[in-house]
Amino acid sequence: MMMCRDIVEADAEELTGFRKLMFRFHMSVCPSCQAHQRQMDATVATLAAMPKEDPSEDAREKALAAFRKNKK
Amino acid sequence: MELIDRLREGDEAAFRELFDAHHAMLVRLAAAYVKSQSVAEEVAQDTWTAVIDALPSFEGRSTLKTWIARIAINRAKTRAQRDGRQVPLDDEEPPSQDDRFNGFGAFKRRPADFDSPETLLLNREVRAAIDKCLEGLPEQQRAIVTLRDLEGWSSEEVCNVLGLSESNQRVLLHRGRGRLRAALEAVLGGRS
Repeated sequence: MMMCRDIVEADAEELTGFRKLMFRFHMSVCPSCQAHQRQMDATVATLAAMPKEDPSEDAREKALAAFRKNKK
Repeated sequence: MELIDRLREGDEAAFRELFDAHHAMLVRLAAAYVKSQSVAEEVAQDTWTAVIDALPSFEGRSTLKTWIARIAINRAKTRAQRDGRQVPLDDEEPPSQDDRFNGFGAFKRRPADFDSPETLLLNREVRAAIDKCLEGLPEQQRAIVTLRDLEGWSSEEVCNVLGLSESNQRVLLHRGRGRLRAALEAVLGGRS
């Protein structure tokens, strides 16, 4: 039998055969593991939404200067 | 004309395009290996110099993006070695301290739902917790999470750049995401 801890630690894509069926069954009936999965999905979505810092003008100018120098 | 051809012809607009598309990624990626944000910035800058020098020899066997990232990783690792940075290896993962489970391995209580990413990111504490957690990740986990989740790279691209098997990459990504989830839960106070 797979318990919640096993579900949370499992690499779902690596599971095969009976363990995969157990995983799917547990996920379909366990509100806590479903909630954990929602947390994981929200974590990934939050990381994806992290704002990127624009490159500084100084960094861009330095790189452009190196590009120009190389062109000569 | 392809970007690479324009770059080889010395087209500044093409270089600016390349720089703007990838500089932030290079800084984030380098930060997985070196000791500080300012060193990561230096590594990214060094990477551009190396990329410019090596453009004539780019053979197109990988995408420009992955080729540049590989150069950045090599530079960052060299810099970290020079600076004597010690980071935990990924196989030194401490045993799980997850106390959310009872003695039978079942959740003691249902995990609370998180707010939407947009709402979460308005919270400075959340942003700080994510930054701190990322800083504490072992370098490969951090590099994987950075490329997969922050930069949106495919699993294949990440495996290619980091020289990892698909399965190893997935395990490390799962661990990294698990730590970040825990960091978010901690800062949100496990509210339901």
